[in-house]
Amino acid sequence: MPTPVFLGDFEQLVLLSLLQLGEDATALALRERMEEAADRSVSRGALYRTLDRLEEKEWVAWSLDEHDVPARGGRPRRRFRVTPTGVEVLRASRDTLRELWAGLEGVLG
Amino acid sequence: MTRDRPPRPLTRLLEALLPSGPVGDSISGDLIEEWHGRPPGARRTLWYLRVASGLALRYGGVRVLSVVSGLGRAAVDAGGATTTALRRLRRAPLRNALTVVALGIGIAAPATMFSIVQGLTRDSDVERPERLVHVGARSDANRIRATRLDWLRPVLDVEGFRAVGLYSRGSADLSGGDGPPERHPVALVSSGFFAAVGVEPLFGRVFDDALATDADPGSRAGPVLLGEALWRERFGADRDVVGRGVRVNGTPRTVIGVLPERLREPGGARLWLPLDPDDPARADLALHEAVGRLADGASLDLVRERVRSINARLRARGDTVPPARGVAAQSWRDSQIAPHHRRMLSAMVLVVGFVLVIACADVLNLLLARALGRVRETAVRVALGADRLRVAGEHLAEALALALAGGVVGLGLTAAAVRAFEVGSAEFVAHWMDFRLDLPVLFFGAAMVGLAAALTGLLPALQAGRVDVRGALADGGRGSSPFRLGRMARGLVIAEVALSCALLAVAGIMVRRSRRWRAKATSRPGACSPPATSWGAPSTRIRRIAWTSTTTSSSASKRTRGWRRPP
Repeated sequence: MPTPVFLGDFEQLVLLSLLQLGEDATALALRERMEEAADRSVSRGALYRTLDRLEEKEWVAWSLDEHDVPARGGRPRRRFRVTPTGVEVLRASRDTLRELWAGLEGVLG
Repeated sequence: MTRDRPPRPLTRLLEALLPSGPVGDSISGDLIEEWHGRPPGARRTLWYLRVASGLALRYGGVRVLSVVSGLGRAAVDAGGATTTALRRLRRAPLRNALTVVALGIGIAAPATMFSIVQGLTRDSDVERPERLVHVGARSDANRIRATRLDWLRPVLDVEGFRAVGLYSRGSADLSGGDGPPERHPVALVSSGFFAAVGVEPLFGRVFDDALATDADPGSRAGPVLLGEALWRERFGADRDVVGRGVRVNGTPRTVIGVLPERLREPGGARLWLPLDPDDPARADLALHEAVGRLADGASLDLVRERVRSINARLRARGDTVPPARGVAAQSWRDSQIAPHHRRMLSAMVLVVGFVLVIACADVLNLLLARALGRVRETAVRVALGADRLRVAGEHLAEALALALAGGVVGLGLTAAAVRAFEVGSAEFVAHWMDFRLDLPVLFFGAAMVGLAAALTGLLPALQAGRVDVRGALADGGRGSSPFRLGRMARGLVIAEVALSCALLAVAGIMVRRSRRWRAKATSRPGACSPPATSWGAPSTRIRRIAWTSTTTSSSASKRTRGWRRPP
């Protein structure tokens, strides 16, 4: 059983958005999706650094797009996906939060 | 194909700061893709500038942080490596002591030479020495030497000097104050001398035009100025010394002021007497020189030309001025030590540096052999997970510790050698030459320590860091080194012998040269020996001349040979 992990708000947002995007999860699409979902601007620097960190933790992996996009000046495009460990961590986080939310309906409505 | 692309310099800067490889490339590609998705125009460029510089700052910060944390880790590692290295060095104290002495000698040799060169080429303690001009007669070696007073007299009227003074050197007996009569170096200077060298008295006054005629209007006795050291030693630093009567070579004189210690021009003088440029008794004595300070805007070349023109006037009035020995001027600095001698001395530092290289080759051989003997130990440690960098660092720390200890020994040897040189050379070095272990010498010594550590430590460290673990463990450490020690040791010995031969040859040449140099130096005015009198007055006559009864010929007494600096 994985150790309970408290995901940061932003990390959770990234992981969930990646899962929602599925195969289309490029960095640009991810940022767009996150901005839509959270209704706030997402800093590119914060996004890329978070992706780096999630990759280091092995919760996210990426692969290079095989198609060359002329508008990128020959630079590759990464497609991200959440690893099984990442899914596990999200699940554990959800369970922890559920437990904490339980019984607070009277307070929080 | 479109040429529409974001500003290149910023893209390059960003890519330099982003992680290398596909991660950085893809981030840069994302930005370029976004750029193409935006309407062209200045706003797009501004957007790119903002976004790219934000990312560059973010990743630049990450790099800085990683370097800082790397340095922190390295510092901790270095501490551990140093402790291990010191523990190892304690195991063979005698061998390491010999190594330290060898390195100490190697470091002391160039450091001593550097200190001597510094002392020989240091500017004398006068204000802005680059604006000073030395005037006298041209000598064979294109130097300036003493000449007749009446030939130098016109220099006082040469345009282009802000101030100019004539001077002569000698020695005299001083009585008065505390203690018995003492002989001291004396300078006779005309009134413009102090303004030319840019020195003011500590208190009292210097000679003015009236006093320069040797007749103090306030008293019947002539004036005299004391040097600060003499004032402290003989008069107990009494500020009421001004106005007191003393006797210089038996002649009564009145002290009119005290000059600061930094003024040792000319001839390391401790007493100053006035010189009358128009004194007919001294007119044909070839004992005089002049020092002038260039006026603002005046060039040395212009003044030299004007000084040279004095010779034509002297000939016009009937004086037989030898063509090659007329009145001439040159920069004060070049007069102190010629530029080609400066270059030669600097080259000598390099040559003596070979001693350090030889010592380092010796120590390197030793450390390489020691590292080879520890190949198995190193391999076992690496196999057990020790960091190769840390293992290499231990060897480097060992070399650094030896070099530092050698540096301490070298510093002591340098101090002793410089002192010995100072004592041994007191007779022929000029008074402005000051030999001491100052900050530049210490920096030089530190650089030598660093060089010694690098020369002796890098190769063994590299060898230890590249050890073949499998080979070393399989054959018990024999022959698993990436270097062939036998060949390298032979190469080092050959290099040592070759360098030693080269050093011996150069040393031989230097000894011969320095003998010749010393012979020249002892015949140079201001350095030590009697001023040239080949076309001046014979020394017997000099003794008869009464400039306050002071004997100006240093050949008159062996005691006065060479103007020793004040103790």
